[in-house]
Amino acid sequence: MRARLTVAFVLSALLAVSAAAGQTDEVKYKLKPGAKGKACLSCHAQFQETMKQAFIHTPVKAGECSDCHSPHASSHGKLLAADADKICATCHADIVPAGAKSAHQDAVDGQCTKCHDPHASANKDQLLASGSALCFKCHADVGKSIEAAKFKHGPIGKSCLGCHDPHASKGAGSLLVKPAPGLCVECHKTDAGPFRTAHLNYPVGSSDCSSCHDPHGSSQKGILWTSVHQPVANRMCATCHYEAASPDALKVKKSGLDGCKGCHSELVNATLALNRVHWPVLDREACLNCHRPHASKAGKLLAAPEIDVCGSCHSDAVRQARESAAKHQPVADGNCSACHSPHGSNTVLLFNAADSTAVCSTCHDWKEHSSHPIGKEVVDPRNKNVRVDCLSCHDSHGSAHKYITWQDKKRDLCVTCHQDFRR
Amino acid sequence: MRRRIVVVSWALAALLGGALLPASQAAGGLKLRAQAPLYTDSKGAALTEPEGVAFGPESAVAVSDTGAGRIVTFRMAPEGAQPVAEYKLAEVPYPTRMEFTSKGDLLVLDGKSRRIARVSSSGAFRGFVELPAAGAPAVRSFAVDRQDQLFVLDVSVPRVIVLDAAGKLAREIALPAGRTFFSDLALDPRGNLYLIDSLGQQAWVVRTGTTEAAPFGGSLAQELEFATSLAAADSGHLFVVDQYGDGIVILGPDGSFQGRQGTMGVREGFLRFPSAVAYDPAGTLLVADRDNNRVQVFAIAR
Repeated sequence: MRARLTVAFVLSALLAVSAAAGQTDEVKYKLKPGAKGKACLSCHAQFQETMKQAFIHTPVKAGECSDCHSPHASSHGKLLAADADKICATCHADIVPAGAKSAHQDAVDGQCTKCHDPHASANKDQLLASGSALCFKCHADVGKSIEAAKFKHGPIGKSCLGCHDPHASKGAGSLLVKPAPGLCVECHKTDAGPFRTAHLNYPVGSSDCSSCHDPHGSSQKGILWTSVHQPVANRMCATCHYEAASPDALKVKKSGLDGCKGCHSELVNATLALNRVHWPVLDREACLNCHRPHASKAGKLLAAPEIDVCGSCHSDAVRQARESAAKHQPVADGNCSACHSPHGSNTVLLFNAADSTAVCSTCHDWKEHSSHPIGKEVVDPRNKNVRVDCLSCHDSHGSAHKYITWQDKKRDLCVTCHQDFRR
Repeated sequence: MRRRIVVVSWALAALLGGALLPASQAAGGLKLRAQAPLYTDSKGAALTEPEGVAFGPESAVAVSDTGAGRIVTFRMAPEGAQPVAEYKLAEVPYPTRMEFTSKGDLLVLDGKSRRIARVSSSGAFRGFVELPAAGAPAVRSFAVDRQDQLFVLDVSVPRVIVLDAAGKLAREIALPAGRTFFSDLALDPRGNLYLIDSLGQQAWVVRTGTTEAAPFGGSLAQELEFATSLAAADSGHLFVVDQYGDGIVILGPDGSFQGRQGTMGVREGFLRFPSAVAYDPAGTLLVADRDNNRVQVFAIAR
């Protein structure tokens, strides 16, 4: 008897809880019969138009305004029932799955209204615009490059969502719905004749397509990236790889520096003859530490824009340069090689001229104007072994002070050496 | 940013007559007191961009005067280091890292050929060290233990190639690959091998009797910018040279961060792109202060 009573109690408790959870506005706010869905609209008349839109958010359609809004008072803007960046997740909690390999930052930050109208819109999923146009509002650079591309990747014309998940991707980077090449081969049949011919019969079906191709489109035939390695452009894969029929077709004949030396022997030999070789040149990856072997978006086959390639190791120098109030123009332009020789040099800091003054002189004709004495004859009063040069006063990567000086020119810079004049 | 903040603070300290190496943080129980630096050879010629320094038997000190393409030797004395001799070797046009053997001879890495030269105590070239290892080693640095075993840091793989005193391959120690770049290695008297990973901003240790490198303490990402050299003290402390951050980070025997000293500057006690460090059990630390064209001498005080 006692057992039956316990079961009945538990069941009734569960029913009560589930009923409370499923309360409608009518129950929750003791609305008058028939008031649901009309009570709010009696004041918010503009929603009459919203309700005529093709795609309406389900709670709006059901008149459950209180799913998102507190009708009487709230601690959040627009009488929302929770913070604007958290309210959507109360229903759409799994929009960014745990452990996602990539996620759209706006989705992570709960900035859903950047893409969706929370009430209704003329577009599916209440999107603010249709197709790729919505994405290009933020990703304008991608939009522009696609527009400029002579050869566009077919799916782009329809929507970005053919390849990308707008919220997050559990298994792939760059919000791809699937990792490449699995995603690519869904459309491109790798065993078909044209595909095989285009790839000179190399078994590239499981290779990373984006090592050669710009998935959005490009002005290079075959939508190759803008900067193409000459053997790729000339369809001479066997320059570096074994023949297509070989079981090791995708392997390179020679690895590291030896692989590149075959064509770039002049550059390699000249580099190795220098006093200082940039160390990445000498490791197992060698050139591929900075360059792509097939094609690249960046010039000179760099794996990324120059400052990003350099910054991948010299992150502090790049951060300082980026955060400095006064910037040196080449650094601001991301042009590290304006002053440094990335492969090697006979000087410390891999300068691309004999010394720092010579480097500066390539742009600044200081000898033509009156200036503070500098050069081999001018001893730095702080250290008898140091000569005054441009870097005695200037921080070449950028500084907090005008003219990229180490200290404030009006107060501290000069008296660093001329201490007699210190006040 | 750290560099500029500390420059200002140390400038103030310098004005007040501070004698200690500028410290951005207290370095645990250890402090480095700046002594008279090494500026010139026995003929008064200035050092130029020195990139290597070593302590040897009987208070001998050797400096790779890299910019001048020569080796300069000194003798430590109570009144300060005294220049002894200068050697310019055609086979070693760009001397960088260097170490003494137990017999007082020198091993010098030529930066241009990236080969280790044997140089007698009288400055005669005795040939290059042959590396009986697979591949094309790219020698970045090396260390010598008390039994004259040679530990060569090869960044091409990366690995440490260990040669016995006779020059025969004793073993190889594989180092973690990936986003790492090992710049230097050092040995303590117990035979523990320490390495510094410039990219990963992490010290590593291969303990005596083991073959695997393990992290030594935590990440140093907050403590340094780009470390390129290190020295191990008898006490188990490590002195890590932050070349791009112009400072010296001190780690305790357990790998814990114990402080950072030094900052960018030209006056004595300041550093500009320090390249190498050498430790003398008598309590002195030598730092090849490359862009200041000198070797700084620091007394290690508790």
